[in-house]
Amino acid sequence: MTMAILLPMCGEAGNWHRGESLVCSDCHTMHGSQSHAWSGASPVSVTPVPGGDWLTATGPGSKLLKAAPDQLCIACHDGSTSTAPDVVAPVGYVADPAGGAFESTSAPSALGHDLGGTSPVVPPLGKAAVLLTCRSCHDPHGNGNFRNLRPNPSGSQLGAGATVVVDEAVVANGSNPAQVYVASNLAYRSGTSAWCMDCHDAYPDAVAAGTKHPTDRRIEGAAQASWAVWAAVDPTVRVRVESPADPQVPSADDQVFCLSCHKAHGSPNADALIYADRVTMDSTCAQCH
Amino acid sequence: MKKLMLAAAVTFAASAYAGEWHTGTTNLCTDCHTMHFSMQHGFAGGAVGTTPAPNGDWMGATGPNNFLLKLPANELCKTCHDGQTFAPDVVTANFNATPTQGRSAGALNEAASATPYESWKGHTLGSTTVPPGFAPARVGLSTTWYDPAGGLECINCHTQHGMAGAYRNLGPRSLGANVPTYVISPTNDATRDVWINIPAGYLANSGSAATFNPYYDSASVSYNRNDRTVGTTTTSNGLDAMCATCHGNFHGGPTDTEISNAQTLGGLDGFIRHPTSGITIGASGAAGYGGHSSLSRYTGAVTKVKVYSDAAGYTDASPGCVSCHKAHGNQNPFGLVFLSRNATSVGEEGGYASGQTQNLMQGYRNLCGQCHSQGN
Repeated sequence: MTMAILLPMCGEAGNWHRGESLVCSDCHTMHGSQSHAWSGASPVSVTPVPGGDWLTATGPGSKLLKAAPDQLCIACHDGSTSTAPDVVAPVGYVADPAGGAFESTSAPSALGHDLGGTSPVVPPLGKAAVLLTCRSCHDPHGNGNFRNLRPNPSGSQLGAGATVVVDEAVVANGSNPAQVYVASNLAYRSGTSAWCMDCHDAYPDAVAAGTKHPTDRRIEGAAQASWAVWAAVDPTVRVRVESPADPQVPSADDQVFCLSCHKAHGSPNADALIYADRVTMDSTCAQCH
Repeated sequence: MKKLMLAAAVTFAASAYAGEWHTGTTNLCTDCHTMHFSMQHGFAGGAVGTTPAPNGDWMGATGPNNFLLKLPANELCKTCHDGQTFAPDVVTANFNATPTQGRSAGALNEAASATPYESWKGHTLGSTTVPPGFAPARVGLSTTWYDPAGGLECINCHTQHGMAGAYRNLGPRSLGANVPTYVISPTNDATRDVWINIPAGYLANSGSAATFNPYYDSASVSYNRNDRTVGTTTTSNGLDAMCATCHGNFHGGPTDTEISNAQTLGGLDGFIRHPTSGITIGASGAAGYGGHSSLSRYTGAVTKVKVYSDAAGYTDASPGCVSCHKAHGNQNPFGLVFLSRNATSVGEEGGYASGQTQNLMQGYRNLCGQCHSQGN
């Protein structure tokens, strides 16, 4: 109980798993053995407990991890730990998590990114094979970026990478996922499309060839879009845009970007697409067109 | 009474042995044994006390006992080493003045010990629990050398009749030449496992905390790196070999299968348990297998945990049991040393930096953060 009270107090403003909220024992075990809990209680929990006072029944694991890497992440982020955002469908803690949800933790999915890969694959509209794991995108030790996103998720280390800049009204404190991981809490400012294209790096070529929808393009003044239509969209179903100049939406700087149409993790729809009315893709397109 | 005490002190000084007590000429049979569990008078006539007196001129209150002991084994040790002014207190809170950085081994507990020394905060006298990681064969010992059913006794770790050259009389004797050795001197002897940095010629049993505290002060004790293989386990210090007699599966380095899958998983990422030997903090690749750690981070720490090292700049530093744990225990779970690299003060539990949240999670961060920069 004491630990539960202390946990929310030790978070660094920003993202979880960073600074004081990066607790080594959340994920690592030194000897692959724990004969009792920190309180002396026995047996120790085999399911995640905030702060790391738990140990899986399997192991010891490589890198002193309590479980295999992705499975370790999912151990907390599958809905079983109320203090952590659930990223595996179906999600219950909010109706529409900003990042969406993975359909599966182990099998390939047509509804979004796959987890559990063991070998690199070439992503859709990508040029090089990438090994996709939770850690491909998120730095497990935190890095100060939004959601601890790695600048180079492809792992190519080519170029300077991309930093995703997002304004958050409410930051994670270890007990408030329903307030943090929702679109209404976020104002996307810059970097998202470039970050996605670190893996999907053939996308700009397709845009240049006119075969794919452009990204980072202002809605206002666009020949094929209607500012008036966009400005009149019901705010409760409005898709996300990037707003480099000001966080206000709608406003003249609003730009279509990857997350206008896709959920980062996955959605109930093919290719992680967002159906604004929850029924049809057309409803998403019609917000600008 | 004063005359008696003075006489005893003089006798003690005359019989003192440079180094550990309970060894050589300071291993006094009558300290612990009684032939008939009967003593009608003291060595100088007069009444016999039931509390320890110098040279064994006392008698236990309960007995007779096995091995002709004046009290059952743990009770006998505690008679002097728990709550007495003339000997170091090693059970729960220190009855005497605390050394500057706490007792180097910390504090034992018992099943009934109260907060803050509950039984999950280090070694528990009398515990019948099988030691975690119990695999004595890994250091060449018989699997029956320690029987948990008999309960943990002081003498499971400390040889009751002393062992010349053995640090704190640590055993077991079956470790032979691999028991931890020591030197008492302002100058280190890197061939020994432990360096007690106090003036040479320290006489044990000096009789008060003011004189014996430096000997047991964590601030005075450091550990050299002496790589060797004991049984089939690599170790970088005899102290680790001693710990491995009970916790064998938790010991070793890159070539030990209970510690590393380096051969199958590709070296640096191959550790499945934290290494306790054979690696060098911050050294990348096969040169040291310390690539996940940072030597500059360790050397940059104002307040450091113990490592096994005798090289300038800690360039040979290997972590070991005592880097993270107090041998006896302390007020933290598992006897862990939660020491920030910028602690405002250092005690048996470690120490927090100014402004830090003082809880277990921060404690773990502080400990790991001594050598690891990830997330810091």
